[in-house]
Amino acid sequence: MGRFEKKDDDEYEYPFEHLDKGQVVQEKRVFNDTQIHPRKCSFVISEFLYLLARGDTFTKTEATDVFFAATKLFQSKDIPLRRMTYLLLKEFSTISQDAIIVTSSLIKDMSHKIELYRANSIRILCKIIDASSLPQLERHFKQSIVEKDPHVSSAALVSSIHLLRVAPDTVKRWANEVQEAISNKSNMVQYHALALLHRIKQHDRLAVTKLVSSLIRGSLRSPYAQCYLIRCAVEVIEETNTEDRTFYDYIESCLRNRNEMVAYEAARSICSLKNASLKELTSAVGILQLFLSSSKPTLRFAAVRTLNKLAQTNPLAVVPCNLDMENLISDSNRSIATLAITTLLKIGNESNVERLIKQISNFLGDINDEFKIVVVESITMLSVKFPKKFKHLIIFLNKILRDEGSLQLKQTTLDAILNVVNHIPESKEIALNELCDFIEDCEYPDLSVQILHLLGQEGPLTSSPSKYIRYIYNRISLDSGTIRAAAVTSIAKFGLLYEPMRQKVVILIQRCLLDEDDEVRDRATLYLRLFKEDNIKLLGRILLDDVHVPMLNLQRSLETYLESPAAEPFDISKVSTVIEAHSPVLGDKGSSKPSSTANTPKAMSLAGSDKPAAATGQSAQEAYAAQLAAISNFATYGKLLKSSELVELTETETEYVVSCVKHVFQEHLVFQFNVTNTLNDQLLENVYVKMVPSNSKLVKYEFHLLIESLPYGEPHSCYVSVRIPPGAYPTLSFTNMLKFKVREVDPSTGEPDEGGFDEQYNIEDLEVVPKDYMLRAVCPNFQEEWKRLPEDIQSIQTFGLVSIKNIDDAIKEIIKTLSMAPCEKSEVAQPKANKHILYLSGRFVNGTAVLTRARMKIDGSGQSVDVELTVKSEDEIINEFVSSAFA
Amino acid sequence: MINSITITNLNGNVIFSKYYNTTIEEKQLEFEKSLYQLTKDEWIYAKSERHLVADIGGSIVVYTNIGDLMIFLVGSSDVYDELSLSDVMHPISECIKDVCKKKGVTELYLIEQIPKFVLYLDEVIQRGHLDQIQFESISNYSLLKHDKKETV
Repeated sequence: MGRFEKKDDDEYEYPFEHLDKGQVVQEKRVFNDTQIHPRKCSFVISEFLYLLARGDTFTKTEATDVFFAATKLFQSKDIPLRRMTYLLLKEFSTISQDAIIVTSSLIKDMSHKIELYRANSIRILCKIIDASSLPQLERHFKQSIVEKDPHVSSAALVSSIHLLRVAPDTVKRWANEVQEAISNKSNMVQYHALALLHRIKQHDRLAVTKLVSSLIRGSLRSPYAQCYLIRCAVEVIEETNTEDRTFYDYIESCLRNRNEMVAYEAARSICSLKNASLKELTSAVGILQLFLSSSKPTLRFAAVRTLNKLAQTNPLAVVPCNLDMENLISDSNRSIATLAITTLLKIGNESNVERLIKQISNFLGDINDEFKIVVVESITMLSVKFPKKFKHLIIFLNKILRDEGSLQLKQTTLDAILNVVNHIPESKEIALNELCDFIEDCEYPDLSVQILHLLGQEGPLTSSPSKYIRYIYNRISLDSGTIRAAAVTSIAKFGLLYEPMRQKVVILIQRCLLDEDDEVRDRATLYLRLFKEDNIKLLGRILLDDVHVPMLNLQRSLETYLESPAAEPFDISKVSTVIEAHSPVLGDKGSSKPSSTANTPKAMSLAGSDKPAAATGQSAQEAYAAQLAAISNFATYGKLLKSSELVELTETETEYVVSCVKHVFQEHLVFQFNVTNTLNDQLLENVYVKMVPSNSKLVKYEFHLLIESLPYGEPHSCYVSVRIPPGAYPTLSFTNMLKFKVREVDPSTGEPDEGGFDEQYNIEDLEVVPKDYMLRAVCPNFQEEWKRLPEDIQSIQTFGLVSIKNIDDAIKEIIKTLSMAPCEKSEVAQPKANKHILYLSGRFVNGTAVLTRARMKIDGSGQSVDVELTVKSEDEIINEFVSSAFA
Repeated sequence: MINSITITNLNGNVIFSKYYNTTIEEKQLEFEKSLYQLTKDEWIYAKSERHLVADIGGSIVVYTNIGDLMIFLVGSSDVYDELSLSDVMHPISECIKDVCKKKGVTELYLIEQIPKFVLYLDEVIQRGHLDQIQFESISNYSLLKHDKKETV
């Protein structure tokens, strides 16, 4: 390319580059000219469209102005301008006020002789119309749906799909017209009509069944319609549990469809069906296997994604595709490769795991860190599945650790190694050796410190502790202050835990006394002094005991301390020892919902209410405390002692979603009900929960706080407060009823109707159980405390956990039921162990420390786990109370 | 539904994006960033309109390269999976090539013609639902002609 040309290129201004929103809004005055210039107006509309595409936003007033000015353009007869006008109106209809104003112009266009006008006016109408004015347009809509012209018919059908949410009852009346549209010649109309018809009949199982069985005999041509029909057929099979083979046969026949999309959909459906026969499954997997070697990445991805899912439920069925998937490991589309790897690892067996790992390591060089993390995570899973292969796993993980990579990747990898070491004791030595090599040139101090800590903890207990010293001491000579300090501590641990080396350790530490870093010198001096005095007990406490409080609490307390410096020194004993369980604050449910519903405004407002708590790093408990403190009725109740986890009282898909948090105060229980109204055509007023206790003698009703107005999608809380006698911890259950007044709302305007009626809604029972009075707390030296607590008042109970078949599940169940914190890493059982001892520590709401020991053993039949639960504290009543959780 | 369409240049600068779901702006930027970061290494493989796939935060993304542009289509995996997105990508590619005419697909020419592209796109996707898939119909409707006989 010539030099001059290039210069020319550079000088070329991008069109619209300096476009200013204010100026364009001014330019809209050309719309008002008595003589409309189509060209000029089209250009201004173009500018608006460009601004929107660029991401500019308009305020409500601006949008309304533009919208109203644009309505003038209906006077022009110019077709291109009209098309642009439609586009502009559609874009602005959602931001502008009173968009309903154009309805009459649009209705006129709906019966215009030009099809284009008809199609586009429908599309705008469906955006601005509300349920109350739709019936007037019914005739037009019905006419458009059965129209021969595919453009108009498609527009009407797609619009109706949207309208179904606004005015379901009206749209449902069009079923006959939609049925007629299915036989339209156009492929797309077929598809849209089927989609709409299915949505209309969604709740009528029989009608759907009839629709599907009539259509599978017919001949839908559109591949989209065929895919949709397959999905409907699956729905019928799953919901009706039909034995009718026609549906299965139809899906299976689609496997042989020429269109890949249809064939894939059929294969995917068969894989997802619960009771697909082996024959069907084999042919479906066969099709997917073909796709695996397709030249199209999308098809390969689709196939491997489905196989990955199938591998979870039926790994054996996927095995025939092994070879093809191994070829995908080096696929240039990394998402495909990653899925292939995770699938292969899922179905891998003891004999081929080694080969697989080797293959994966060969291409590690060309994938980025995000994908490596996925690989590392699935490798970690393998270590649980094939403990015998630890050597290969450790070597593989170590390779990732040593290659270049981000801190996040390396941290994940190190965590994975630690995980393997914790689960498989035999892997300890090999892991330590590899890690020693790694810290020789590790670029991240954070990782070095963690590894030095591990070396100090585990090194002295191995068969030849002395070989690690050299690596650790190298750090002292070569690395920065933070690492040197960690290394000194690590060496001191060798001296403490492995007596034969103590003298040598003392010599090494002596050499650090002149270190230039204060912290290193301090540590060295302290350890040396204690070694010389032979004060092993204190040394042990300094080196081996964890801090008495959870790190998170300590950090938070220190931060608050620094924010408002006080005269007195920081007192660690004031830091709370209670471990915050991650109980979600109001509205957290939104994030766990499937993404399909996350698009509704509800999810947005939920996300919004979520923020403040997350941003300040507040714990759920503190957030609740702040929330309750803001309500004057609870001001006299004193300190909030405990808030329970969120208990769901309805399914998450019901009309009204209710969950509850139980708050315990000194003499009160407060039930916070989080209520969400998921109906956009209803406004609820005076919402409250009527609770009936199972034993009315135990609690006394105080008052309730209602939600005055509960609009669609915004969660709000109502409260019920009951009084409990001082020092009593009642356990009982409540039957609950949600009571409220319903007012119909017009979803498009948001205006509620006058009047309304009272309504009630059944929600599930709520129980107050012992764990609601128990806080998780750490206990740094469990064994000593255990011995200290009196034995004569302890409570011992033996019982069986029915239908829990392994130790891991039993541990989880016990922790969940007692809501106490595990100690001494006893929450991790040896793999495949058949007995285990679990230590738990907690604090009762009145401040009494409670310790629990659970000895468990898998029952001879393998069908349940026998548990012997011992509860100790200084209060006999509490002991009995805690054990009653399992009564 | 189809969640969004994003067009960037080869440096990853967004030229055009449209969201059909109600994602807030912050999340959009965040998403576009991860879109770039997670796929940029593979852009060289997307040459000559090869459709590649990525899975970003549970959404399926199909992307391809035309001239100087990268096009990303994002769908929620329930109805618009990688295969249908890839299918929808075809008419969109055709539209881009058409609005840029014979001059070649570059950032400049697309920006020049964005209003026309918006017009085209309006026929392809209606509020997140696929409307028309055949390029001939789309271009006819957008050119304000009307085809009486749709080719089947």
